[in-house]
Amino acid sequence: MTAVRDLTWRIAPGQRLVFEDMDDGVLLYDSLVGRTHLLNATAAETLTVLERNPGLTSDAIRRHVTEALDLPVDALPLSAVEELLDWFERLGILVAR
Amino acid sequence: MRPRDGSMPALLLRAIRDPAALRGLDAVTWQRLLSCARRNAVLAYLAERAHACGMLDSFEERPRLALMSARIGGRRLTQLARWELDQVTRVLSAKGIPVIALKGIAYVLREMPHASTRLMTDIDVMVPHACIAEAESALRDAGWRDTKLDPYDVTYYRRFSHEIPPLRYPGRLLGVDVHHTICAPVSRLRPDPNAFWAAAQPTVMPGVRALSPPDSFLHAAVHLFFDSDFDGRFRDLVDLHEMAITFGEDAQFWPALVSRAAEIGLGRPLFYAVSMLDSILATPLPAGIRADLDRFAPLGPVRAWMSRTLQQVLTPIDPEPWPPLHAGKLWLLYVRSHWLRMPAHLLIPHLVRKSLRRAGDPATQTQ
Amino acid sequence: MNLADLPAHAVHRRLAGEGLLLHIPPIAVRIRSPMRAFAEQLRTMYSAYEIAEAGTFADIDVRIIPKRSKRLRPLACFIVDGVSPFDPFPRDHALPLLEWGVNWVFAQRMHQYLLLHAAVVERDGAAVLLPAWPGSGKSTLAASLACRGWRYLSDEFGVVVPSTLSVLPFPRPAALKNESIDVMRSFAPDAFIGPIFPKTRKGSVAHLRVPSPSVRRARDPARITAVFFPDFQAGAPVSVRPLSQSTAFLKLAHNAFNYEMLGETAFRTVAAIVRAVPCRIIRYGDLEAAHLQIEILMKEPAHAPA
Repeated sequence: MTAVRDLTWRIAPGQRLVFEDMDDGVLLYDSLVGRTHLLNATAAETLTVLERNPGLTSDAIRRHVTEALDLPVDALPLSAVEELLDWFERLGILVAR
Repeated sequence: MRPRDGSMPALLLRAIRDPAALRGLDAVTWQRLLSCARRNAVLAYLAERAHACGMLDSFEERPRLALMSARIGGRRLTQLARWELDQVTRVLSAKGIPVIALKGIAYVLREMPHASTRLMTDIDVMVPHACIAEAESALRDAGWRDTKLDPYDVTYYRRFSHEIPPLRYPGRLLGVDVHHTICAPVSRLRPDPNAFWAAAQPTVMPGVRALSPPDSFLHAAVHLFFDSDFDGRFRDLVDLHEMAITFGEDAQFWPALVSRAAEIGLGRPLFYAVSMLDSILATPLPAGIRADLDRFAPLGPVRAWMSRTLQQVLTPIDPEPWPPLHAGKLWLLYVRSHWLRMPAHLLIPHLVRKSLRRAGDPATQTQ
Repeated sequence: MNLADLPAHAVHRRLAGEGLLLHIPPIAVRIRSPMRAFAEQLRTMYSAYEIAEAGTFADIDVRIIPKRSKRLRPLACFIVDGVSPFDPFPRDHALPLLEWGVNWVFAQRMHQYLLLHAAVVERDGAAVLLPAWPGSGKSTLAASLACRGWRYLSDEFGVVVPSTLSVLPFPRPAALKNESIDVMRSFAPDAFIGPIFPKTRKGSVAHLRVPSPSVRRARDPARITAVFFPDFQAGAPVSVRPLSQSTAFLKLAHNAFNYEMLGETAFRTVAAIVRAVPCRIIRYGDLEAAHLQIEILMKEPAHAPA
């Protein structure tokens, strides 16, 4: 069984994500399950990063996201990223290998 | 006994066989036909048939909108059903419990043409008999809850039926019915569940299998003729019709079906299924099949009575008469289906209880 | 020909026979019922509505039929497509039963539209959505606006054409409950309010008849230019609070009748609405004050129709 740190993440097969920017967040429509979610900037950026770069580890995702949001890497704990990824996996939005 | 030729049930049957029968209908006939389709839970199915024949766009605006609206509902339910199965399978697979998808959700996994047209309230899955208690507690631990059933129904499910009570995850539209066989354990039909597991096939969803095509057909036949109260079962006959057409594309299907029925003791439901498909829906069937199935027929008087009664009860219901016709025959068949399910000394108290509840029962949903 | 042009006995005969076919845009409804008192109430509340020609496709076809009851009080059933989907009502509540039943059926069948749960009024081409939430008082507010020159589109359904900001009227008698009945009578003494039905599930219910000019314009769509979430609090002074787009989105989506059904189409349509028009909560304790505040807000450039 792969250690959590070594898992690679990608958008779930058959998934199509639809984003709508709001003044205070990003709305996401998950067309696989047919559900609507409200995301904060970190969550939205995480999905954008994975759409462009499938197969990243949690650490790599953390670096991409903090860079895109113009934050120091320490501003986003790795545990928070992994919790978010886990959440997305349970929702059927991401898969891990 | 066919429905009268000018009646809506007759028109609905023609339209199912060939959607071109819908061309050129006047507005009032359209409206009554759609009403009949709704009453028999086949509006979305009719819409899919029309769409598959490339005809939907050629219909007049108002009926076309009604058909398209029904398709939207059907597709949404299909999406929800897949998700529910995904979530249920995660829980059960984590405990090493294998899963067979049944009925509507199995048609979805097989991507059959009629799969997105069933109005499901729950998905149906089967687990091995030895795992049923563990499956129930795993789902409850993961958050699934009882739907509203009175305590008698809960007891009924546990003792006589082949399901734990239906469970639903709070906030979700569809629930899950977990079975461990396809016939009630106290019924007079007792196929060995191991036979179904042995023949089960993989599906597109990891961890989920489906019954083999002959077993799927037999399961639907058992459900229709021995397992239900017969209300609104035209829809179930349509499922058998679709399976006969889709599975029948494989030349091996029919011989395998007949020998399987003999092997596991489900010849009688197969006999009824084929004779009703032939007489009501004129389903394409291989030559000689009815003769092959004659050995599974009931004896003389029962055969004639069942044939007449089933034809009446399985023909689409006409929604126009009020109060509805059928009630007496339905009741008789309901009694019969329970006779097959339960020993007599348990049957009478159960039916008395059911009839008292029905007296105060708000009626069924419409589509 | 309008329903008012048909004498009462003729209305009753049609209802008891082949059915009364009414245009209630965007649909046609066929109603059958043998009940004379119900026929009179229907004729009164729908007097300005156009009778549809025989042979018109009825999108919704319903019956209100008396039901024998073992208990003392006589009952009536609502029947659609040969089934009775809910418990019977008392027989003298046949009109609220019709209204409730038609709403229920409409919400299930009209997936070619996004159906928001909102009252809708319009003036000078600008439509205002008044979404429903408990205690909002949306029906009373919409009814009061309708009595002050606003066009009344609906008190229950914001019928939105998907991927547009266009909303269609579906004008039906506005349901007033309990205290609102008296409030409306004082607010608009000349407005026509139908009979009171006491002890319904929601308490006492009466209906404001839709003003004729609104019925005549029932086929004219309008463009959504404002979303005001009404928040009635007895005695409260008027106050306005803006909503963030995502909050407004969640409130509208959560409350819609068929958001879930329409999936991505609904998602995009609601997003477009909350991005295009200001969404606000209007707290009020008094209808006049609410009206004044709405007037002020509607003068803002953001609320001008495009």
